[in-house]
Amino acid sequence: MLAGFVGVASGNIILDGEDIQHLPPYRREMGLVFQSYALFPHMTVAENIAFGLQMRRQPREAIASRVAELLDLVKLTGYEARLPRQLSGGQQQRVALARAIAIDPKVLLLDEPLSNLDASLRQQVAHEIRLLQKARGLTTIMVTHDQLEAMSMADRLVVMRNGRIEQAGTQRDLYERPASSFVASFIGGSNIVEGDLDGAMFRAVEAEPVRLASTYAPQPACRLALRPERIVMAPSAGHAGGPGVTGTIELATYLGATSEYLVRIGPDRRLVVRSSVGADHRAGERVFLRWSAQDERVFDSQDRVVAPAVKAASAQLAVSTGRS
Amino acid sequence: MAEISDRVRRQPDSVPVGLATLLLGPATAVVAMAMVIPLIAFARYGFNSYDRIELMKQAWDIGNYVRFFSDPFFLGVLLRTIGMAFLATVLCLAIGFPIAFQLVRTQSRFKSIAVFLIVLPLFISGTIRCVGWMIVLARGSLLDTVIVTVSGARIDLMHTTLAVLFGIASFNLPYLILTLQSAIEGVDMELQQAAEGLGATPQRAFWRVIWPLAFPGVVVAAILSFVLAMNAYAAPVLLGGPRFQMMAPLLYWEFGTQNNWPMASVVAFVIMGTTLLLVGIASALLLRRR
Repeated sequence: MLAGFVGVASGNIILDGEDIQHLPPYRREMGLVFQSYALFPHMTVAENIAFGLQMRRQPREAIASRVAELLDLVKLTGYEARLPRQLSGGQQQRVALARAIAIDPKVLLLDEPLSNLDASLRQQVAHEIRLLQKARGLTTIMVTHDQLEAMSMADRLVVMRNGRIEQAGTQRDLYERPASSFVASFIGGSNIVEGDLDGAMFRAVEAEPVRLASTYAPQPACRLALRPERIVMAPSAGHAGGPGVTGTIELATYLGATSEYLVRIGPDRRLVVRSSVGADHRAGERVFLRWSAQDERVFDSQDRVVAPAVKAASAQLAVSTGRS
Repeated sequence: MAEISDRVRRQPDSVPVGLATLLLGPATAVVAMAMVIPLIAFARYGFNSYDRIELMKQAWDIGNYVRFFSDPFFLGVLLRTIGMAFLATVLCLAIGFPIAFQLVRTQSRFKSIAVFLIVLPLFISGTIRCVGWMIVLARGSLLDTVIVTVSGARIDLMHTTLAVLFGIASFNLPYLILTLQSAIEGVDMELQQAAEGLGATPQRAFWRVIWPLAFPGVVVAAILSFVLAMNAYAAPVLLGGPRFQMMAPLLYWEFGTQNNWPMASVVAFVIMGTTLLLVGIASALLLRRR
């Protein structure tokens, strides 16, 4: 749509205050990097990079010097006479990038640029793209399914679902204040528990009742989102009445910097807990899970945020009759 | 030791030489008996001499070849055949390429029906299709009546070069379209978008990117069409009439009607040699790896 290959059903695309919707792709001045790179296989690296400049009928010497400059930028000097198939994936990716930047695009569009690279190369190319983009001050729109990639490369994130914007903002906004359970689980990952909300009591479907840190207006069919790394785990004894939930550790995985636990709070309901503290818990252990008020997010049946009604301090009083 | 272990390691996935010979044998024998040996024998006939009463006489003589290449009639037939094959191929490409290209790009659910319609003529014998053309082009046909009514003048369509050309082209078209289709399918259409994104108009994107990539496939399809046309028989006989001579009917005439097997052999090997030569030149010039 942005590049002009697909028509727009409704709305406008405005670039620099100008509606570009009616412009054909070849007039939009957008630098495109395709998921498959789409390098021209019958042209050399230099010819690929020069293509956009030739289409603009620039003088030969200008093209030659621009190509040399770009090859230097993507660190491929010496490769100009190679064909794309003689390059590695990462090198092809850099040619695609150089080709897109060559035309001095108004916007750089990256369509899952890293998805065809292996893990080690991915990070390296990601950093290169980021540095390049910073150095040139180039507005860049990058599409990705990988939230880590999005987190690491963007200034501003837009989470989309079925073609609609779920939430837009900085990484911090999306992580700390997700606007929907979809965003909460997509960005950073969250435990999502479904159940009914009644004050500070969250009755999860087929699970232990969860005592929330804040109190909310009663709501049926809600979702509770908790980040694995924000849950604190303690031995189960001595916590009765406090906010949290009891459960049994089913799996304990040591991951070096962190440990990950799968805690069962119902017959078919588990929470992932990630802790960076070295304290070992073993599988089979009864534990109590807690979290602070700012780390719990409740979403209603329309997946909108439910704000706490009363502050956390009074929560315990409100649920004295809670247990069912 | 190393040798032994090597052999042990290789054994499971390699077929013993004896068995390989045994398996390839029958196919090789059939090809040799049905194709290579008759071809060699027939080539030999070309150097025999011909007598009206005794027919073929043993000889070692290049007189038949000399006669072919010095007789304006034979040379005329050869040149006409090459010309017709060339024109038919150009016509086929002009009609077939847009169809094949559209066939590749279309997302339509009628695509398979379109492919079926293209293949459909192949279900009917080429001779019968030529008879169909005769019915269309003959004097008193619907087309003829329309032309006479509209223009007032009668244009004879039967027994013309044009009729033969259409006959051959219509015969070759399905093969050509299918070959082109698979060639074009090998070209990533995202490249068109990439080129347009870089500022190329759709036309320039096509000529700079899609066409060069599809070109080798186009050459292969053209060669196929050319070879088929060089050997066309039904179209020149049925649509060209008795005075329109091309190589394949000439071969039949020398062999079947004249009983001049030596000359038939010469005609056959001239078709084969010319076709191979032209195809070789075309491939060398057009399919050179850059």
